[in-house]
Amino acid sequence: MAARKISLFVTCLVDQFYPEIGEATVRLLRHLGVEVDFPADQTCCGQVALNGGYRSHAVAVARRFVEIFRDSEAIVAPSGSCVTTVFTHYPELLSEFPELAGEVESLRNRTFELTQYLVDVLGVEEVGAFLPKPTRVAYHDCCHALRDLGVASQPRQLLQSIDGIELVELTDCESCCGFGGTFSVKYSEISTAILNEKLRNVDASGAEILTAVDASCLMHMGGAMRRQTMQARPMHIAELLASGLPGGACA
Amino acid sequence: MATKEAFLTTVREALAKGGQTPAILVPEVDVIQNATDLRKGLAQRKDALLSQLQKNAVLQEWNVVTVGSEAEARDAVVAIAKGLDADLVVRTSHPMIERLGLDEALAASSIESVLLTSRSGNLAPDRLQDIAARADIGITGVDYVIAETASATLVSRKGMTRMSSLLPPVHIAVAHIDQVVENLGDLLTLREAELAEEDAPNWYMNLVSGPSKTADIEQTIVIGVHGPGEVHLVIITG
Amino acid sequence: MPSIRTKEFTPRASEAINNPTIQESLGRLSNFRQGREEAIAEFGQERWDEYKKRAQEIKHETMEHLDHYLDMLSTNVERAGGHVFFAHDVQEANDYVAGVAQANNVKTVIKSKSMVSEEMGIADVLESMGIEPVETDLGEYIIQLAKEAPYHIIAPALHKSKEEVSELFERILGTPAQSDITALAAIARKVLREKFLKADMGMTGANFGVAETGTIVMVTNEGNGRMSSSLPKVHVATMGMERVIPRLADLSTFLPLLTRSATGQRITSYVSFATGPRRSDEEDGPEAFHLVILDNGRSNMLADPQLREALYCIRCGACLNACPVYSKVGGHAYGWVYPGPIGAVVTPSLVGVPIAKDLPFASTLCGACREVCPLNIDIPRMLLKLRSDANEGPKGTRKANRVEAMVMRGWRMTVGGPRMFTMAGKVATLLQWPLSRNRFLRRLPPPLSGWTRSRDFPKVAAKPFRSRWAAMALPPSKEGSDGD
Repeated sequence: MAARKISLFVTCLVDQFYPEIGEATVRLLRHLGVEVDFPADQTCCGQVALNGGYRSHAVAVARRFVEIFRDSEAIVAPSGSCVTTVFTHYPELLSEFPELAGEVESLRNRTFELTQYLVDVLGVEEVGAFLPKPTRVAYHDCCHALRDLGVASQPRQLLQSIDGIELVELTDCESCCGFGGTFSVKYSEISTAILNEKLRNVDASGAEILTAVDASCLMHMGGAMRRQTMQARPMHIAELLASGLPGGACA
Repeated sequence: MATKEAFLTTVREALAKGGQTPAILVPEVDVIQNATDLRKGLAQRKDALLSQLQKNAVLQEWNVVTVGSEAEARDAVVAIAKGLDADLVVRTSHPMIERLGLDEALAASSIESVLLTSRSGNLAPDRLQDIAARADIGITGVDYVIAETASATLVSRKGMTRMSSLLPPVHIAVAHIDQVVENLGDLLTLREAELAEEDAPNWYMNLVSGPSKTADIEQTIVIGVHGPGEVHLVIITG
Repeated sequence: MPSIRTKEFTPRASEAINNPTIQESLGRLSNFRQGREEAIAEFGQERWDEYKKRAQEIKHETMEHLDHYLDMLSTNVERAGGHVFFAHDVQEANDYVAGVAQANNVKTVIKSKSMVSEEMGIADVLESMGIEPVETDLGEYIIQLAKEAPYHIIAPALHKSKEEVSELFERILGTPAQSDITALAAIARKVLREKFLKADMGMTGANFGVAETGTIVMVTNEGNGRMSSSLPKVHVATMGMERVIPRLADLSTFLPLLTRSATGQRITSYVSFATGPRRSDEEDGPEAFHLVILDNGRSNMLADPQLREALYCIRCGACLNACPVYSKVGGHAYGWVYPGPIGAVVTPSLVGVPIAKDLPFASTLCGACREVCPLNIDIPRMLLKLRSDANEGPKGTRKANRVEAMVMRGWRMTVGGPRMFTMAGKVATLLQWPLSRNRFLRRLPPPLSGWTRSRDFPKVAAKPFRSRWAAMALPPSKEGSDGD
């Protein structure tokens, strides 16, 4: 039987900006019978430094991460890109510590994006969530979840199971939203040009809710959707999947 | 100036190894035997290869004519030339083309047919290009045809000039069913065997897989840029 | 060597983004993407993956023994009667080609498209010697007339509308305005045909150099590659040293990958194999054949295990078509010869990270490039490595922004432990308090103003998740028990 006890890596962004996504994640996991703990020393996976070109900082943060989650059976995060940092980049980042190699290899294989954990590990087919009224929802494929982790069918399958959802596909759903971390700030004009194309597709889909597995991409797209007062609003997949479940509000 | 040795030393240093090159190379294969085996296999699949070629040739924008005999091939070539109101065609001395007896057949329709060579005939070497550039059609045989990509394969030799299939606006390639191979891998296998037997280290070969084209302006495909814009593949099955 | 304008990345990107004609042209990249996808579907995904794997293995074998295969290639070209010149840099390569041109009393050179010859800037060198260099690929010809650099690896004039091409022809060739693309191509055919017939030297690139036979393989559609390697009395081919492949048979792996990735074609109209000069029994073809093999910094990439695989690139251009950044900023923003994702790796590696620092950073790291690459080159990982080189490389080459480096040190302290982390959050909530009354910030000071120019920014939550966890820590008992 698959592990049913997980350590939540909530990610720094969710912790500080979107705590309700963290709460929804916990509710969802518990509803599915998973025991959740929250190692209090956790902060960040190091992605910010790695992508920013400050590898040495990322190395230090990665080491911390390995220490903190050393004893966890499984680590689950409501983020594809943070899991990608662990899964794709930790082996290289921590290669200067050969004594950690075995541990890192094991850790990367025990770290999961939320929907990946639910579907691939637990074999969940539906979560029992429901929406108060029929709602058109579009799913955006976040780049790292899609290309590094192979997360594409899992979130769609879970979303389909929500009562009251009408899942629509975006044109070019696999194209980047233009976020790219510091890229969005440093190369704001380019980022915005890419983003606007994405939003045109969101608009054309007629979606009322735009969802994704990463809060960062949603912060990016949602920030512009708000600025442009678009009809659609962003919502993290954990919140959608937890909607209507006991202990929380409906979406 | 960098000598070869200095250059290769830089490469070796980049690879972090000394002057010794480990000898792992190309596994020794019997190219002649490979080719023989391949030919046997191909001979058994002629019909399937032909239909594969016919289908792909159309996709590659060849005008395809399949005929049962050399006489029919000759008639087909003449018909194409007449249809185009050609005045002058150039041709190669490929055995297949020689056998068709095109010169007489074309002359009967008042079309001048010139074998593009300075060796046996009366053309001065520096005139070949002028004549090829003036010709309405270039007619060639082929060495092989690849069914999967509809590629007519032309190896340049005496009497088989490069420009015959290049300078005129129309190219007619005449092939026989026995020359059809399935894919590029097959072609290269046969070619390697030829190279081993010929012992001619220098050679030039073209795969022609349809008309000359470009999409360099607004990604709009235009047929016939520098090479022939109209290509015909005559396949003789008999 | 063409001028290096990598430092102008941001303004030139902006120019492209604000040019509607260019945006329309870049919108057509979807044709390439679609063509590629259809071509792979026709080929069969499984078979495609097998070919990719084999191609990687062959490139690995080649690159790990590059000295060996280059030696073999040159030996076999010479055996076929050709000349080989190994050029350490573009200066040497240009001097050699100039020497060949002079020795043959060359007046006109017809050129087939070649990225390496762009890297060399040979056209300018020839021109300065009073020799007429004529680009003959239609796209290259257009940008030569416009005096611009190629916009795309396989579609050099991608950014030009037919109206712009018509104006260009009108201005330079004196031909009447044309709105029909076929007619424009016909003009080029006519003008260039005369050049082909009188040229005394042809220059081509080499998509592949086959070590085993000494054969240069050229993959083209227009026929200009065949002209350039057949009509003039001298043929000079230039290639980067990584273009070598071991065996003739390896082409059956590489060719389908190249043409289907590049234009979605099963095969190009022409694939030409040139081994040395014309044979003694041949009646046309060049009397002399020269192959120039160029290093120009490639050995530095070879020496770096993290960049070595970038030399596997077969220049299909698929990564450009897939890239969200290239699709907006186009080719000229990249400021040198190789644009797009592969350019963002190759350019800093060849011209130096400090002057091309923008290139590895101007990427969202979305990974679309890696996904479409027929050689599976892990471009995002290489960009990360180059980013780190730019900020943390040896002193003197480092180009990190000092403020940014300071911010990163602060970040490192912040995420160093939960206490600092929580405190930083609290400080932020205090700082943001006067800025807005709702949950969002509409305006932030630089450098974050880059964000708020088009996007609202969320406020830091009054109570972070870690402070809420205590209340959630004990799950309701009924749910804790239904596990097994």
